[in-house]
Parts: sequence; C-alpha cells; structure tokens
Amino acid sequence: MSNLRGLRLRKATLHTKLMVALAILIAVVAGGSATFLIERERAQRLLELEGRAARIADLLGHSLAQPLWNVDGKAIERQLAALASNPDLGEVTVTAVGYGTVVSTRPRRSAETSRTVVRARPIEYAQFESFPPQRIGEVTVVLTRDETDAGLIRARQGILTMIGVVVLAIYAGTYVLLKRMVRTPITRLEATVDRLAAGDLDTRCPVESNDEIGRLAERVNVMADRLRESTGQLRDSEQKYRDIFDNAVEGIFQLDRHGRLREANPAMAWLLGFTTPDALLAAVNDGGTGLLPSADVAALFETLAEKGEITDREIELTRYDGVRAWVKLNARGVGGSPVRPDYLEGFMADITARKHALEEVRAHRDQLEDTVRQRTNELREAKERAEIASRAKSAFIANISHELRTPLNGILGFAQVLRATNPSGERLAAGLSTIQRSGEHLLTLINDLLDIAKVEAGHFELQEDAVDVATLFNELYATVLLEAERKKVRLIVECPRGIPAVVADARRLRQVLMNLLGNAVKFTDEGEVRFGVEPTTYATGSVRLRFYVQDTGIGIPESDQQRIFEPFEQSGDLRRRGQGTGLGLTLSHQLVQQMGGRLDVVSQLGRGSTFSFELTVPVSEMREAAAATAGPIVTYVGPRQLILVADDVEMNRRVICDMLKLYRFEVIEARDGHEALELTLSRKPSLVLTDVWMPGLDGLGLLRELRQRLGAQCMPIIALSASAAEDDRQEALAAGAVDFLAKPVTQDELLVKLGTHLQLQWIHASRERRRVLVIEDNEDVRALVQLTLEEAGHSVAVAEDARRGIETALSERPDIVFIDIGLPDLSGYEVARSIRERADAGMTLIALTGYGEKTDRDRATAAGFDVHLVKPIDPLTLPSLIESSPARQIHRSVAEKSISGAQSGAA
Amino acid sequence: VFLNPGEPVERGTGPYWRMVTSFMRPAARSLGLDLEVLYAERDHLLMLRQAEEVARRTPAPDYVILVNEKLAAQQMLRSLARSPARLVLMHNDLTAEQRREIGNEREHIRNWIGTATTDAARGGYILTEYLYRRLGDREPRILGITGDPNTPVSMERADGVKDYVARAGRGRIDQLAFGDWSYADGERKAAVLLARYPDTNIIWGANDSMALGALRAVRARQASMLVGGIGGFWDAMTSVAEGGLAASSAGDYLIGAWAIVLLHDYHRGVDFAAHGGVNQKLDYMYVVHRDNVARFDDVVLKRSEDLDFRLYSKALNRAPGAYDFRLARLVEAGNS
Repeated sequence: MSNLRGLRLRKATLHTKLMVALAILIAVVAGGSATFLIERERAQRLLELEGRAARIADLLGHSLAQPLWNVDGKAIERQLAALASNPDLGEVTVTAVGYGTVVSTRPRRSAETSRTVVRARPIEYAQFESFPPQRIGEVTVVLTRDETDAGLIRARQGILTMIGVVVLAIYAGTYVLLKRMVRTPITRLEATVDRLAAGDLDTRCPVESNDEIGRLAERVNVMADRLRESTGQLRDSEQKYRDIFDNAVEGIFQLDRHGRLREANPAMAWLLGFTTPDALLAAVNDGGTGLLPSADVAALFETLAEKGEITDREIELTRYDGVRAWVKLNARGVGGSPVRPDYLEGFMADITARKHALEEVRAHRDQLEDTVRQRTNELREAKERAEIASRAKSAFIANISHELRTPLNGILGFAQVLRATNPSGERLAAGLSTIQRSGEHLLTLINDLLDIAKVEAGHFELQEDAVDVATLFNELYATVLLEAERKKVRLIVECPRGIPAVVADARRLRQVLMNLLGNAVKFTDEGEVRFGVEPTTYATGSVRLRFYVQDTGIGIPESDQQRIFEPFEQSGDLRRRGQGTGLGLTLSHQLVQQMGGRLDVVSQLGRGSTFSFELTVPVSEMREAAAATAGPIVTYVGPRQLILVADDVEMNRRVICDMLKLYRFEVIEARDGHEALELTLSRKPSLVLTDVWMPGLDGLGLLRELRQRLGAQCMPIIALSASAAEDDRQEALAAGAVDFLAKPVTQDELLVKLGTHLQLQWIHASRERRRVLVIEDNEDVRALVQLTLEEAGHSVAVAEDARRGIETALSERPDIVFIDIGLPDLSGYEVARSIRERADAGMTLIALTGYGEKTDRDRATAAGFDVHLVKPIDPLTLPSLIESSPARQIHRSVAEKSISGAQSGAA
Repeated sequence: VFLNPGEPVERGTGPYWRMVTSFMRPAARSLGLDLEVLYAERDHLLMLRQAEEVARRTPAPDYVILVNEKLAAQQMLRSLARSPARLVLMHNDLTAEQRREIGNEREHIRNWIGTATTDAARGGYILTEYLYRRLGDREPRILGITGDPNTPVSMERADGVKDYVARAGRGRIDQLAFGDWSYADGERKAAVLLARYPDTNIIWGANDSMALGALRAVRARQASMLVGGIGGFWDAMTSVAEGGLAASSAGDYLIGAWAIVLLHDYHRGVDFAAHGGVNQKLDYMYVVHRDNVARFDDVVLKRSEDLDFRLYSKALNRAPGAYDFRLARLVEAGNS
C-alpha cells in the first residue's frame, strides 16, 4: 500500500508533493499546538478561579468587619448581594464568633454536584485603633467550577476553530501561492520551450517575477532572442544573396562539364532569350542542346585548369530566339580539385549592344573632326568681323559726337550770354535755363559716349592725383542737395572721419558717384538717399574703400539687374526714361572696371537699390600728413597777397573771392579778359585766377597775352573751367597756365594750388571742438546748421526763440552763437545786444539774415555781431567759418580781418 | 389647623402621629381652642398642597401647626408667610441649613412665631438613671442599640445615655450599635452582641420595638439583665406590666399637646418667648416602670380624652420662668 502511494507520489507533480508534505507537517504542528494551548488555558482558568476566590474572601474579610461588628445584617447582605453578579459564586457564609452563621447566601448550585473552590477568611475588628484586632467572625467563600468549565469548553472550541481556520488559510494560501508562483510559471515556461522547440521563435515567456523562475524565464527569452536573431540573420543573409542572385544585371550560372546548367538567375534567362530560369534550364538541360557547343565548354574548363579562373572571355552564342549575341564571361571552378573542378560558376554580361556601338562611334569620329575644324574657321572669321565692326562703331560714335558737340557749344554759349545780358526777364531766364539744362544734358550724353568709346577703344587713361575723399563727398552732397530737396528726399552722406586722402582719378570717381547719386535721387520719390564711403581693409601705403549709394526708390527687378549695365538699357517705368542718357550706368560700370573695381547692385523691387564698388587705392602721403598734424588752414605767413580773379559770371567770381578773403587774401575782380589784362598789368597781383571761357578775350587769350607781355616776370596764372573736358586742361596748360582747376572749385583745391604756386606757409587752426548755439525759429535752417556743424565735430545747442536763446547763451557760454535776425519774439539785434551786455566779449555772434544791404550790415555790427551771413547758407562754408572763429583768440588780428572779409564777401 | 403628616387611622407607619393627635384634641378642648387636623398620609407633596390651601383660606385660621416632615416645612412656611395666620413648627426643628436660608422665628417670616421640640436626650438620660437604680450596686455593663446614625433623635437619645454614665462615674458602655428601629434587628443585634459581650447587664433600645427584640434575644440566651426602651407605647407598657421590659421612657407623643398650650397662652397674651424663648426644647419625658405602669396606662393612655391641660397654661396659672411640662404633674393630677 505504502509502496503504491510512494509510487504515485513519485509520479505526482512537484506541486502535489509539496502540498502533501505540507499537509502532514501542518497537521502535526496544529495538533500539538492545540493540545498545548487548551491545557494551558485550563490551568490558567483554574488558577484564576482560585485567585478570585481568595480575592473575594480577602475582600469580604476586610469589608465585612465593620458591619459584623455592628451586627448590621442588612449591610452584610448588601455586600454579599453585590457579589451575586459573579457567575462563579456558589455560596458565601458569614459566621460570628460564638453565634454561628449570621448571613449565608443561598447556594446557586448544589455544592455536592459541582466541583468547588473554597476559601475562608477570619473577620477581625479593632474597636479602637490602639486595641489589638479582635476576631469577631469568619467568612467562607465557595466558588463553583461550572462557569470555568463552561468557559474552558468555549475556549477549547475557539482554539480549535482558530487553529482550523489558520491551518486551512495557510494550506489554501500555500496552494494558491505555489500554484501561482511555481506551477503556473513553470507550466508556461514549459509551454514556451515547447513552442520554441516547435520552431515558433517569436514566442516569449512572460516574466512576472524576479525570482529564480522569473530569471529562468528571462534566460529562456534571451535564448529565444538569440535563436531568433541568429535564425533571422541566417535568413536575411540568405535572402540578401538570393536578392543579389535574382536581381543581378549580369547572368549568374553554374555549368558542369557536360554543358548542362546547374543553376541560373533571371538575368541569365533574359540574356539568353528565356522568360524564366526554369525555362532556360529546361531548354538547355532537357532539350539536350547545352548552353554552348561542347568544344567551347571543354575550352572553358581547360582555361580553368590552367589559370584557375576565366576573366572577361568574350563569347558569341545563339540565343533561344535564334539571334546571335555577344557575351562576356567571368568564372571560377567549384568542387573537385583546382585542376579539375566539378563545375564552373560564373557571370555573364550581354555586350552585344556595346560591340555594335563601338563600331558606330569609330565610324562617326572621323566625320566629327572635320566638322569641328570647319566651324572653328567660321568662328574666327566672325570674331574678326565683329571686332572690326566694334572698332568702326566706336569710331563712328566718336565722330558723330564730335559733330553734335560743336553746335551744342554754340547753344550753351549763347544761352549763357543771354542770361548774363538780360537777367530781369523772368520768362526768358526760365526758357534760357531750359536751353542750358538741355544743352548740358546733351553734353553729358556726348561725354559719356566719348568715354565709352574711349574705354572700348582701349584708349582710356586714368589721371591719378591726390584726392580728399571727404571734400569729394561734400561736393557731391552740395551738388545733389538741391535736386533732393526739390523732390523732398532726405539726403545723407556718410563719410567717416579719418578717411585718408588717396591717389585716384578724382574726376572719374566723381563722375561715377555723381551718376549713381543722380539716378538714386531720380528714382526715389520718398524716403532717403544715403551715400558714403567706408574703408574695408588697410594695407601699408594703401586702403581699400567701399563706395556706396543706397536709395529707397523703386528698385530694379532681379531680371534687369545685369542688363542695366548694358548701353542704352534703363530700368524703371517709361515716365523716367527720357531723363537719363541711358549710358550712365554703362559708363560707370566701365569706369569702375578701369579703376580696378566692380560695380555691384543689390536691389529689391519697390524697396530700393544699393550700388556699391570697392577700390584699392594708394594713400596720398602729403595730404595724410597735413591732415594729421593740424586743423583747418586759417591764414598764411607773410604779407597779404593780392590775387586777381577773372570770370564773366558774377556768381562764380564771388565764390572764389569769398573763399580767398576768408584766408586774408586781397582780391581784385575782373569781369572779362580785357579788364583782367588791364588790372593785372596795373596792379601786379601775386597770382591770377582766370576762367577759360569768357566773352571777348577768353581765358586762354588772356594767358597768352600776359605771358607775352610779362615774360619771365609773369605771375602764376591758374586756369579755371566748368568744363571737365580734358581738352580744356591741355589747352590751358599749353597756353601757359601753371595749373588748371575744374569748376566747381573747392576750397581745399584752391588752397593747395595757391600754397603750391605762391609758396605759402599755411597757418592752421588748432582742431578744437567748438560749442555752438543756434537761435533760429525756422526749423530747416536750424537743422541745416546743426547737422553741418555736428558733422564737423562741434557741439551744437539750439533755441527756437530769443528768450530761450539768451538764457542758453548766458548759461552755457558757447563759443559761437548764430542768431536769426527775424525771430518771432525779439529781433536778432536786440538778442545780440542783450548777450553782449551780459556776456564776455569772447563769444562770436553771427547774424543770419535774408537781407544783405549795407545798412543791414552796419546795423548788425552796431548790435555787436561779428559776422553777417545772408541766407541761403552754404553748408560747405560753415565749418571753415566756425573753425576760423577761435582764431580770434590765437591770432586775433588775423581772424578779425577774415571775418570782415567774409562780411564784405557776402555782400 | 394642624397639618398632620400622618394618617387618620393606623395603617403600618406606626401609631405615633395618631397618638400625637389624640393628645392634641383634649388639650384644645380643655383650653377652649378649635382644632382642625389635615392628614397628609406621609405624603409631603400632599402636605405642601394642604399648606397652600390653608394659606389661601378666607378667613384664615388663627394658627397653623406644621411639622418639618421630609424637610417640607421650609416651603410650607414660605407658602403660609402671606397668610395672616400665626405659624408654629413642632416635633422636628428646621435644620441649620434651612434656618440659614429663611431665618429664624419672627424674622423674615414674621408670622412664624415659634417652634416646639422634644429634648430627646432626656429620654435616654432618665431611662439610664432608672436602670442604674434598678441594678443597684453591680457594675453596669451596657449594650446600646440606637437607631440609624442619620436620624438626630437616635444620636440624641444615645447621648443622653452617655451623659448619665459619665455623670454616674461608673459602669461601661461595651458597644453602641446602630439599628433600623425594627424588632428583628433589635433581636439579632442583641444576640450577636451578647455572644460578644457575655458580661452585659443593661441593654437599651432607642425605641420600644428594638428593646422588645433585644428582650427576646436575652430570653433566648436565658440571661438575666435589664432591658429598657424609649417610646411608652401600648406593647411596651404591656411588657413592663408583665415584667418583660424594665422600663420605657414615655411621653414623646405629647408634643402636639404642648404646642396647643403654648398657642393658647400666646393667644391670651402670654408670649412663650418670655418663658423659654421662641424655640422651645421641652423636657417632659417620663420613665414608665413596673411601679407606675398601671397608673400611667390608666390616666394617660386609656383616658386621654379626659386629660386636662389647663394646669400647664401660664395664662391660667401665672408663674415666672420656663414652662414645666413634666408628665408627672399630669399623672399625679389625674390621681388626685
């Protein structure tokens, strides 16, 4: 029997075995502990009962003493009645000494039938504390064990129930836990391994715990992963090679010695005119034709035996459809021995098309070479023709422009004469202005044409000289400003200080910038035109400058941005077409190229354009040194020099005279050549400045006359011309001029020429920052003065009316105060007077007025003004005016003369 | 009007208040007073309602006699304070606390004219005095069974015993036990105590019942000793006459009659305040023993209707000093 059970147990699951063992173990332990607990409970309850009996007896022994002494039966009965609630109580008897039972409770149960616990205590009482206690009676307490026994039975049932429940709970819990934690996971693991073994490599065992079984499951999973990975890799690799095999462009095949194909890929089949490899194999192997004639097969194996491989063997074979095809074969031997392989494995490529193509190419090549030779000749001839045509065009343009220019000169001259002789006729003057402007325009056109022709003809030469870039920009500014103001376009010049004087062709540079500026203003209706220069790189002795002109005008479409540099190409709307020559940008482009740069444009339609170019130019040492060491020229060392200025146009004359007077020169004016000749001979000036173009005796005539009359005694004569034509310059120099100045004449140019030819030693003002106050109600004038002076590095305060002006003048104590005569609240004269009364004499006061009459000047001088400036104010002269003013402190006498000179010059 | 806390006929609460009434009626009659008795039947709430009713009466009675039964007198006094009737409290005095709250006679409650109580200690005193005399030269060994310790009269009676023992200068009180006034208790206590003190020769009980119970215990032991009681009721008289009890201090039930006397005199213009004060503690107890029991029974108990209380009146018998209510005068007067 036990053998049988053992056998069964051995066959049972781990779970069952564990459960059986656990059942036996729990039964033994539970039985033992139940017995122990019950026995202990019984002993304890008996002990408690005895203790209770003793306690009750003790208690009664004490508490009954007083009532018994007093023979208070009711009190004794009350006390005993209080005990009645005690379920154990059987009987209590109180006896008095010598009397017997005083009180006795009725026994609850028959004392004989119940097992009892009996405790007796004597009752003692001391009547007075000093007396020894007297034994007055005894109390006997009988407790039955009925209640205890009943309690014990209940306790035993409780214990057995509890142990039973605990045992069942443990057993059931263990069963469930074992099932969940061991049996189920192991069963799952088993199933997983079974599935893996069956080849389902994606199956995984869920890992539900971190214990041994969990880790076992993890390892099984890892094992499965590896298995799948390696199987996958194997499959992938097989698939990869299968794909290569199937998708190869070249035919891949295995061929045995009998010419039978063992294996072939689709490409091989197609190559041989079959649709599938199977068809190929069937045809070749079963049809008995073989892939190749057996001789060829033998030859292949022979080659293999000799060389070990077959390389680029070209073979001609017949396709399934009967077409002959050329193939290239590469192969190596497989199986058997290297010398005698079982079969060959190789690639086969169809080279039929290539073979045919090669032959065709060879045929065409010879023909092509002939064609090329022929075309080259044609091109050369065309080029020569084109060059000839170009040269002819240039020559033509030069000729035609020369023809155009001659009458235009006449027109312009005539217009000038008319304007000079009858300036009062307003309409006439307007008409004449139009004639003049048109003429000038035509002249510009012609000049541009000439320049282009010159450049194209390769005859262009740059005339390089020292150029002060800042001066150049000031000139450009002044020239364009009027037009810009007319169009209400803001004009901004950005010429940082410290740009050195450079060696460049000033005329061409000006021409380019002028052209760009003119266009910018022309094509901008609102916003601003900004132009300037910035150094990009410095090198020893040279500087690279970037010139730019930026506008907020109409812009140029991207498609036109290259075309605009072609001759007669203009961008923008037709309305503006007539206003330009159409040659400006072409010429500018070419000129910049000639100067070694490249004109670039960045533009956005509707947003504006930026034209810029960069030039690397040598730094002019002379000007750099001068600029670095001193401030502006104030005057010169030595006696006053007398200079004659000859010009038929009063305005031109006055400009020159004003400039000269600023620097302490004495000036004689002549309106034409004859007057000039006369005055020169009579007054013997140190130097003569003469315009080339003058009615009657012109500048050149004057030159020749003076040279002839004075000979070696002749003072230096400098020719001036508004025409920038090189011809004028050459002619003037040829006529005996020591130098040539193009109009407009800048102050700096003039001073350089005078310094050179009169060998003057200049006195420079120290370059100080002046504090200037402008009291002017007109905002434009105020802004102009402020801007110009701030640009020149001075600090400028402004006041809109006389009251604030006076306050500021007195509190700030500026060096120079510009005062408008026509202020709204107080006349400028009173302002000047008021300042003079309260401030020191060191302040220079300059009157700004619209009236230039002698009486006005006198009135200004009387009010305390130092200088009287007539509006409109030329912004170019302001900086030098300011910079000369503190000379009163350094060279006071000189400055005073300068200022008085300026006053008379402005008249 | 006498607001009697007791019952008109005996129903188990003892004969005391019936006996008090039985002496008040002859007292009133002999002195020419008109007595109306209202029984509260030991129901103090009923007694309070009766007091209210009396207070509302018109015309009001001249005098109302009250008992501080279950401490109800305080409220009755307040109820009756608005009545023109004069009020007298008897038998049980107000407690000290009650007096603190409503004041003494003729103070806050102006128509509360006086209080008459028994000098209980005298009962114990004269009983012990008699028992000593009967014992003769033997050293007295005394066991006392008094009432419950919370009743003032039981302590006062025991004090009277102690006073005499102290005054006599001999004898010893072995133990004073407290009892519940019952016959059975007297018997059991006496039995146990006699076992504890076998040399006892005097046992006294604070009332006749306990004394008779003790007498039974003594007889059960076949011991020879003197047993005395206090009360002077019929069964005690019988026992004394038969040679059972040695003596009984009697007369307690005459307190009502004495109140009638005091009121009579007050009504006649003799204010008891001038003769012992407004709060009279009256000494009148009379020891009835084997020699005088027959006469006492005959004169006082059997013929109570005929008793003439006029001899106690100070209005009728002008005399200075406190009232002398000694019963001996009545017993002897009846004899003459």
